[in-house]
Amino acid sequence: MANQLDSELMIPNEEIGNTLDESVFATLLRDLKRIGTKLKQVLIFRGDKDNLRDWDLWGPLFLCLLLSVILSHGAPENQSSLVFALIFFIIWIGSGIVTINALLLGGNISFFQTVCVLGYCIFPLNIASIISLIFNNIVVKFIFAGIGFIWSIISSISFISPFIPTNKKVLAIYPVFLFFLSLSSIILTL
Amino acid sequence: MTTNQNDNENDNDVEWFNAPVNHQHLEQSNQNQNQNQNQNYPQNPELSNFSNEMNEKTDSNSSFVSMFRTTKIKLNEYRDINKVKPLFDINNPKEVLERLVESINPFRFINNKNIKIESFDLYGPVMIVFTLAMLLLFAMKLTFNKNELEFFVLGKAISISFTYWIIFSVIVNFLAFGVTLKFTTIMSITGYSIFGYCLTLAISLVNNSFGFLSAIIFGGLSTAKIFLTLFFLSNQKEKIVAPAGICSLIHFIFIFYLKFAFIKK
Repeated sequence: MANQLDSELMIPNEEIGNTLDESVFATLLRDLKRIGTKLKQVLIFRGDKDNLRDWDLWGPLFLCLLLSVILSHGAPENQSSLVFALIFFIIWIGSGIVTINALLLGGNISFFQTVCVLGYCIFPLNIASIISLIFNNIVVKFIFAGIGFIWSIISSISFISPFIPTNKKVLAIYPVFLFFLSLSSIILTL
Repeated sequence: MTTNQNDNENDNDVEWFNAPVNHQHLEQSNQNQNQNQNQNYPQNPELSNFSNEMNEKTDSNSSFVSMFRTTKIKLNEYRDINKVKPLFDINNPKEVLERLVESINPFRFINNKNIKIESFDLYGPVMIVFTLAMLLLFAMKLTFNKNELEFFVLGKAISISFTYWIIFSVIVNFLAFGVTLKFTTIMSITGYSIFGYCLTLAISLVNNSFGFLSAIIFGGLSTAKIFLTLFFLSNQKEKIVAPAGICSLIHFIFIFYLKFAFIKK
């Protein structure tokens, strides 16, 4: 009886297997692979509910730090640390506000899921900021920041909107729009 | 079960505040409560529509201590997220659009005097204030001074818009004699009135030559809306004129501050 219960409680997961025996490198590689699949989903605008459910904050933290480092590198010398802090502040507080708004509108979603999704959806803006750092031209910056802005908005809508009631989707999306607009405006000026 | 707990907490708060207070204050506040309960104007049939909006805005004029006490008890009510949810409950996005149009349309009061306060929301005001912060940010970015730090530009934009909203609604709440609305409803009215500012700033960002004209037009329209709202909602029409005038003057002056301080060419 006890054996039967144990076998029921043990979830057979062939992908992961026993994580205690494996090396640290294998664990890191698996996490990186998971982050990679989520980034791919962001780029092809395909929100998958099952993949959203196992949220992680490593990917958003990595992307947030990357964007902060890039933009603070492009800032004037006396301001670089403050720009770093600003980007960090906007990403975490802003995604928190967007999530609280979605919860108040009656969205059936957990807090860290939405924070995770918004963190991954910064990825197009990351690419835009790298390109605008290489080509220091205002026209190129404008074009690529605009493309990244639209891209991240569409992918975040495709992830979040299945969880919001149908009549309130516009209301939930408007703060997302403001969030990415503030980030891409900082890319433009630096 | 939870309501019982809340009641107990509120009782504790009241006891804690009662200890240093003189008995005179308490008596005054009790008298005021009785007066306000008597004055709950059932005799006016026009105003009976928003009887749901009435609340126990009882001893706000009596003394500072009792005011502080009531605000603390009211803040405790909003600790639970389920009690904040009705303020953000909007069935149709068109409602928000209609209220935005209403906020710069004072003519409705002149044409038809049947005032009906619909259920107000706080979603619109919060988003309007964030939009105002974004517009101020863009305005400061266009005239970007390299000596000014990026971090403080954003901080200035957000803090100006939010502190204006909160302080203005506190002023309206204290000055509006005879208006028995919840503080959240007053925050909703003042928040929607900020939409005129957003329009003005957007127009003057696109083309600054229309900036002054749009400040007069949209600032004036939303100011008139606030004045007429306070006037028609009050049950003491003689007392409300001067305070409502002060509120609307503050509202009208602030748009010119925003326009001339942040938009330079």
